[in-house]
Amino acid sequence: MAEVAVLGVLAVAAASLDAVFGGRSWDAPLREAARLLATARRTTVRSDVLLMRAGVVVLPVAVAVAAAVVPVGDRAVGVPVGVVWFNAMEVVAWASVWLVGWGTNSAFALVGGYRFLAQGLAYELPHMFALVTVALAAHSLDFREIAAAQDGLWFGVWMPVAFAVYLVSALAMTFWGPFGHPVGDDVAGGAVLELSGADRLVFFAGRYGLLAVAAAASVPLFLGGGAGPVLPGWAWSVLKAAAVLALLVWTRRRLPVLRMERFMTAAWTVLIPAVLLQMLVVGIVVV
Amino acid sequence: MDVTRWLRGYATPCPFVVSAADGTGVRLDVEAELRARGWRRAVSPGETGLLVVCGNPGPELERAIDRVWRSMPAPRRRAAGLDGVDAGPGGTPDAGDVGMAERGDDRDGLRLDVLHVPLGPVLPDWPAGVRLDVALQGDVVREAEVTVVESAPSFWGDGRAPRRLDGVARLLRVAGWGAAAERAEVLRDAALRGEDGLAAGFAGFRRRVGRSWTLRWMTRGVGVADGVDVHGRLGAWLDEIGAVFGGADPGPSRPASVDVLPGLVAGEELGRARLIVASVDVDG
Repeated sequence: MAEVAVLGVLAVAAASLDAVFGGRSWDAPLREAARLLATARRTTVRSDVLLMRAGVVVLPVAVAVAAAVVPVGDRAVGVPVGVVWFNAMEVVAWASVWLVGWGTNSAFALVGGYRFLAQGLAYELPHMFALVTVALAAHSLDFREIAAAQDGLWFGVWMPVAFAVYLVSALAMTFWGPFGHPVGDDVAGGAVLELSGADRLVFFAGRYGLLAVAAAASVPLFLGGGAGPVLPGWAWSVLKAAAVLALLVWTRRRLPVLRMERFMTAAWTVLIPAVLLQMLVVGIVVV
Repeated sequence: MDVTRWLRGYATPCPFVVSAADGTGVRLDVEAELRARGWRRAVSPGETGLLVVCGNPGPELERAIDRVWRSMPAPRRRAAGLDGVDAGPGGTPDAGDVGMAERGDDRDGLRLDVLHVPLGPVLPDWPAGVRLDVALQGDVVREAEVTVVESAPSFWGDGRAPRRLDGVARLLRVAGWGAAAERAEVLRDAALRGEDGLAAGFAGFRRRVGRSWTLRWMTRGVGVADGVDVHGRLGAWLDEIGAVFGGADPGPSRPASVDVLPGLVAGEELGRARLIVASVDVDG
């Protein structure tokens, strides 16, 4: 599965880039991984180990399954409802963060889990409307057909609101940077507070994977897929995905964390109406 | 075993740093050293086996540190600073004595709707030696009680600018903006060394923080005391630092008493409560 391998490389690159932005060496994430592998796993009193481990493991698995339908160039598993498949796998992140936050039986971790559920209520609807807008314009839920439908004019150019909403929701679903409150420093790591050793490594590898797959999916959705001069399709796919990924990673340096208590209002009064309006415009143009 | 040894040799340590009331100076050294080595601090003890205790903790803080120590994953080691702490095997793995039943005491409240949780004294980006016992309902602080576990003479002396920059860095970390907090720490350490010409560098930092509409959005109207909210208190600190660097009189310093904290955090969501505590100058 070449797509999943490409995604893995992108995920490591994202972690590396974040370290470099932070003034640390490029291999800091690898050294961190080595540290976590050499650290014992421990559990907390009366924790539900099964739930917690399920939450940890399900994240990278869902990411890999989502990556399988995201085309690199023209390659991908042909799934006629690829967008729905991809969206369903993203939603597994809800379960993952909640299971980890709840399963470890710790006050702050539980608070982190609650925060992510609130975050889900804020980003998931705008996110799905952005995906629906793209599907409406392309008359298809298949990533390859969506990419092919952007011949000459990228969806990201003529539906910028949907693209912007997609990027914001990508940050939110990966609880990254400005949307990192569920795993925030103010609650000592929130949902992941009690994760140690390999558990922690697997969970965060899954999180970087989610960030990478969200960036990779934006290429067929908004950036014309593998289309581009000179270079082969797969190279354009990877280049575009890397550019979007770098943008997502960079936001962590630029913005403070957003609390859902305030962001929720903006999500429902600005993001949802804006993306619905975008869908209306697209609907009128296309139909 | 060889693989484990190689992993430990390649790994970058990630210390969990605890500061006693008299440990501010050591904490600043440790933070500067972490920056220089490109190491990251742990935000929770479960993340790491390396505990760094700055200063001389009193008996009560020592008990809290001991609880944290026993909850850390093996291999563990405890140090009083980063001298002699290297990447590499170091220390002795002592997986045999990981006893954790004691942690249950904190969690007894789970049977009730109200959960009693201590904030501090061992908590990153938290005033040293202060413990806030909060009654949580969900993630909302219903009521709080403050205890000064230990105190020490102020480390800062006449150093208004570094002291305020330390406060700004802590507040920005709690606000989830680590990159800006790091910049504040760099300026703080430079000011502490008595470097000249920091005004220009600080002006850039101040513009960046002042212009952040997301920071304003998240801190406006939070923790209003005497008509000033968290954002206002941050602005006042920045003004004060600007005045010191510009050679002007920053005006009198008015440190707050920890006694104001319970009233300010009651009824607040936990994240807001953390912002409020970080925005009040209680370090003395």
